[in-house]
Amino acid sequence: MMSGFSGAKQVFVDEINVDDYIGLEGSRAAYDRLVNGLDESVKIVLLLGPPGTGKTLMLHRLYENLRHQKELHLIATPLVKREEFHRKLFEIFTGKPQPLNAKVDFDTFVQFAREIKEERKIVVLVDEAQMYPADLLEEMRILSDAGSIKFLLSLHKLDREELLAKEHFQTRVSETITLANASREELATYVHQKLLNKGLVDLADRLSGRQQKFIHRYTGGNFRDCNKLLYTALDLCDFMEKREECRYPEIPMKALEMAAIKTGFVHE
Amino acid sequence: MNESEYELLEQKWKSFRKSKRTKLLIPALTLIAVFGALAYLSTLRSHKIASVVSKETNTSVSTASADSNTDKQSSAGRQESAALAPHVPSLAHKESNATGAHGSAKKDTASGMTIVMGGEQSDAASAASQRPNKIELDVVASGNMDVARQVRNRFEVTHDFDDALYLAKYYYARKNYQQSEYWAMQANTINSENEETWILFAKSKVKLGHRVSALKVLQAYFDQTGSQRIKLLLDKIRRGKPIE
Repeated sequence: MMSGFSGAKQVFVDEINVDDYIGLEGSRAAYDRLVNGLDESVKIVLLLGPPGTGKTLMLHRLYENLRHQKELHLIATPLVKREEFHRKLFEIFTGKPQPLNAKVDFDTFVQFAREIKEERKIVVLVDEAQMYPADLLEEMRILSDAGSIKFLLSLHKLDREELLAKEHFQTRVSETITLANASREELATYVHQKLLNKGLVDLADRLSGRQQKFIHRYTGGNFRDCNKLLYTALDLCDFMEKREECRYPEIPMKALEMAAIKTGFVHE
Repeated sequence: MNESEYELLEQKWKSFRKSKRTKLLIPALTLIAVFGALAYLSTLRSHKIASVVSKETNTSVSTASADSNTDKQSSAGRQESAALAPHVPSLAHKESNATGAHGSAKKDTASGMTIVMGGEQSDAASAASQRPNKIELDVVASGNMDVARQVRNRFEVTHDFDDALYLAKYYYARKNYQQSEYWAMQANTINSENEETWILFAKSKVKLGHRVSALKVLQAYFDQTGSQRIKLLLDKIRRGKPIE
C-alpha cells in the first residue's frame, strides 16, 4: 500500500503495464473490434491514434490475452532495417533464431508462407509501424497475400498515404480501428480508477470536478499527458507538504496549475 | 526539486494567475458596460415616451385606458386556453372558427394564438388549434387514431421533424413497427443528427426481425459519433436481449 504523495505519484509513471490497464467504454469497444478483426479472413488491421491514446498498451494486452489461443507475435520495437526484420520473420516462421551467418532472401519467406497457409494462421502485431520504411511495409503487404500471415499495424496516423492509401494496399485492410483522446468523463474515470486500483481511495475521492476539468482542458484528454501532469502535480504536492502548504490527501489547485506550467501544458 | 526551482515556478504561477484574472475581467467589464448602456438607454426612452404622452389630448388618454381593459380580458382568455390545451389531442380536436358567438377575435402576437374576447371560453381552445403551434409533442397513451391522422396530414404540408418523430414514437408504442420504421426514416431524412431517429429505426427493424440490418445501421452511426447510448443498444441487440 502506497503512502503519501511520494507513493501516489508512482501511480502515474508512464510505463506499459498490462495489469494497470483501465477498461474504458471506448477502449473496450476498440479492443473487441481488434479481436474480431483478427478472426476475419482479410490480411491487414490498422490501429490508429495520436500518441498517448493507448495503442501500445492495447497491443500488449491483446498479446497477453490471446497468445495462448493464437499464433501471435509482437514486434514492440520497430525493426527499421531489412536485415533485422528478416531475422524476426525467420524466427516467426521457424520458431528458432536465424543463424548469424545465414541469409534468407525475401522470396523464400513468401514461398514458405504460401506453403504453410493451410496449417498455420500467424498474426504479427507491429507497434510504431509509421517508423518502418516503405519497402518493409510493402513486404508486409506481399506476405499478407500469401494467406498464412496477418499484420496488425499500430501507427499514429496514415502518414504513409503514398503507400497505405494506394488501392492495392488498402483493399487488404480488413479493419481500421481509431483510438482517440478521452472525453472529460472518461479521463475522470481513468484517473479515479488508477488511484483506486492502488488503494488510494482518499486521494481518488478528493479530486474535484473543477480539478478534473482542468486536467482535461490542459491535456486534451490524452492519457500520456494526463499521467505526466499528475505525476508532476503529486511530486509538487510532496514538496509543498514539507513546506506545510498542503496536506495529504488534498491536492491544491495551485499544485495542478504549477504542474501544468512546469510540463509546458500551459504558458505562464 | 529544490527551493530555488520551486520559487521560480511559483513566480511563473503567480503571473499565470494574474493573466487569468485579467482575462476574466475584460469580458466581465465589457458585459457590465453593455448592460449599463442598455439600462441607461431604456431609461432615456421611457422618459421620452412619458413626455410625448403627457402632451396628448384627453381622447388619447381614454383610448389607452380602453385598451388596458381589453388586454385584461384577453389575458384571462389566454390563461383559459393554456389550461385547456396542454396536449396534442386537445389541440388537434378543435377545428372550429376563431370568432365565437359573442364578441370579436383578437390576435395575440406573443403566443400566436387567436383569442376570443367576451365569447364562449371553450372556443378559446379551438381558436388555439387553428394554428399548428410548435410545442413539445409527447406520446400520450390515448387510443385515438385521429391524433396520428391529424399529425400525418400536417406533416404533408409542413414536413416538420417533430411531427415525423412523434409519429415514429406513436406507432412504436402501438407496436406498429413498419410504420414506426417508416416515420423514423422520415425524421432522419430531415435531421440525420438526431440520435433518437437512429434508435427508433433500429429498434423497429429488430422488432420486425431484421436484426442484421439494424446492427449495420447502428454500427455505422456509432462509428461516426461514438455515442455510449448507441453502444449499449448495440450490445443489447448483439446479445439477443429483449428490446423495449
